[in-house]
Amino acid sequence: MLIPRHVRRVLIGVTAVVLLFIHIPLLVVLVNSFNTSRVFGWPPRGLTTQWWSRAVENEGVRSALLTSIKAASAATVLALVLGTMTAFAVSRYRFFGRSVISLVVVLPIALPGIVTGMALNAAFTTTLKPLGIGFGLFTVILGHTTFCVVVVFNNVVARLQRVGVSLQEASADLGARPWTTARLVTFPLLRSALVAGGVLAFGLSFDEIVVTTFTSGPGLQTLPQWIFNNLFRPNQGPIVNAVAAGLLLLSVAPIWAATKLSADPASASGRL
Amino acid sequence: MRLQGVSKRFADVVAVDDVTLDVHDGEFLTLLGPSGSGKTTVLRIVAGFENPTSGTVEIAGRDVTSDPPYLRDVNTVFQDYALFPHMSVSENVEYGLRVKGVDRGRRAAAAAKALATVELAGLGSRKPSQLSGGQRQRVALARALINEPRVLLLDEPLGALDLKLRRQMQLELKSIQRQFAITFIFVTHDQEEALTMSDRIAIFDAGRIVQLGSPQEIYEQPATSFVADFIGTTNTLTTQTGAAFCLRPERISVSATQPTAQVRMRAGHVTETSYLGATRTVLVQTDDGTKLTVSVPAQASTADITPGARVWCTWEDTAEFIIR
Repeated sequence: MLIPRHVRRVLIGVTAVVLLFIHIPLLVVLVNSFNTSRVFGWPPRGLTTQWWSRAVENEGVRSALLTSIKAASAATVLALVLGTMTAFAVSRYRFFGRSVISLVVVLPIALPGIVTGMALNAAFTTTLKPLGIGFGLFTVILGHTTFCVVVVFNNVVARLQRVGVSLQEASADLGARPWTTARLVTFPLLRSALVAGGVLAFGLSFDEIVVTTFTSGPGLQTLPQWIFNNLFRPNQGPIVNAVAAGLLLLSVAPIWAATKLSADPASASGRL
Repeated sequence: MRLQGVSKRFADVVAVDDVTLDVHDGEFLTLLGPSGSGKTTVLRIVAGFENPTSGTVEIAGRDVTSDPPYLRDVNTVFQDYALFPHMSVSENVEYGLRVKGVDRGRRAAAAAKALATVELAGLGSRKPSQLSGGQRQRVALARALINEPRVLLLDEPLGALDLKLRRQMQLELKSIQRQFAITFIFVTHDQEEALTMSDRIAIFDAGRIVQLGSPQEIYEQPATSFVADFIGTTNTLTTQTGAAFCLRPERISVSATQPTAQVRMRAGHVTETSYLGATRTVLVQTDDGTKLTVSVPAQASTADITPGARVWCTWEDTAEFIIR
């Protein structure tokens, strides 16, 4: 499409302003984590790595990070198993209530976290508490799984739809038993969708705060909760900055990987 | 291979309706019919991808009706080829041997040989996405042939190829079939393809076999008007006594000079002519109102057979056939 030169200049300008608006604050956080001053300030007075080393040594940060990693890993694994199984059920079999299930599975990602949070809180209080299972890591994992399932499910459903059934039929036709077909054909075709879904699920869980607040018990703190609780304490400000900057750097890698992997091998083969 | 009273219903649709079919060892049998006539469903039942609602499938004298695809001694060349996109061409071809536990060295040798048979030697390390449509088709063929199946099922394998490549592949398929002495069951909706390749043709209409016979039998003695219309062009005429009979366009001669009195003759006017390279098609409206399609060699002198010209159509009595 041919765009007149002056229109193009305006569009370039708007794009630049929007991108700068989004990314300059992130850059400020990153730079400030090296600022010698205790308060947010621009330009930085001097450079230091003390906040980073103090963040790394901070007991609260360490245990919160560990809790977050545990919760996100467990939620991701659960989501991978449940999401993949549901995806196979709705895309490979015809049964009563199939389209309802597709909708209900996806719903948690659209629901406000606050609603999911209070609903789960009430549900756990009435069902798990009497069984002796209190609020803690386990309930956080269950809460996170509800929306982590969605991204895995969506990725796998899309992939199954694209690859169709004929490759599995071809494999069976050539003499492969069902498990051999799963190992040699189905899984390799799904692998990148599973990795992409898993990375997204991990990311969703890792920075979740609303559902976490409603489902975690006393004494348990995930990293986002730690940041939220410490952000406005004057002494902790610079350390929070360093933690946030660290997360920023860490999160770029999986997002980049997920983008790469979403471009699946099957689509590269032209017709399929 | 034998199908006995095979039917298949999907919800309220009868896709295959009581099909009984004996396939001879080593023959090239074509299932021919319009789309939705049940021919592909029959193929899928033989392969084991669909269970028949009733009836039995026998391969080599054994009832395999309830066997899953991986236990049947048949292989399929799929319409969309269904090559594994994450494997190289060699890995695709070796797949059948791999899942049977044949060791790597023997697999590689067999794959190289199979690829050479389909004239793709040296392309084993490519990915299917790097091949042309015709090459993918050959890989699919090699992948099936390497298993030396008793029966090879081909589901419109040439459908996606252009006309020239199609012609070439028709000849190659035929020669491969002779060379390997494998029974081929070939599904197509292309009547010309069916006529040139088959030992026998089964014509499908609405889930039933309406005629089974050699290409010549089917062309010269179509059993129903559906078959007559589906295979080639048919002219239907009525005698003075009111009986109907049929004529193929190439069995009619057309002349601008009145022949000596003949019984098998109609006079009329040319309404249209078209040049088709090897032949010329002449449309004639006879004096009794019948429209005839006549096919004459293009080399024949046709200077005076032009639209509007008065012509006489004649034929031999052996050209006439009757459809019940």
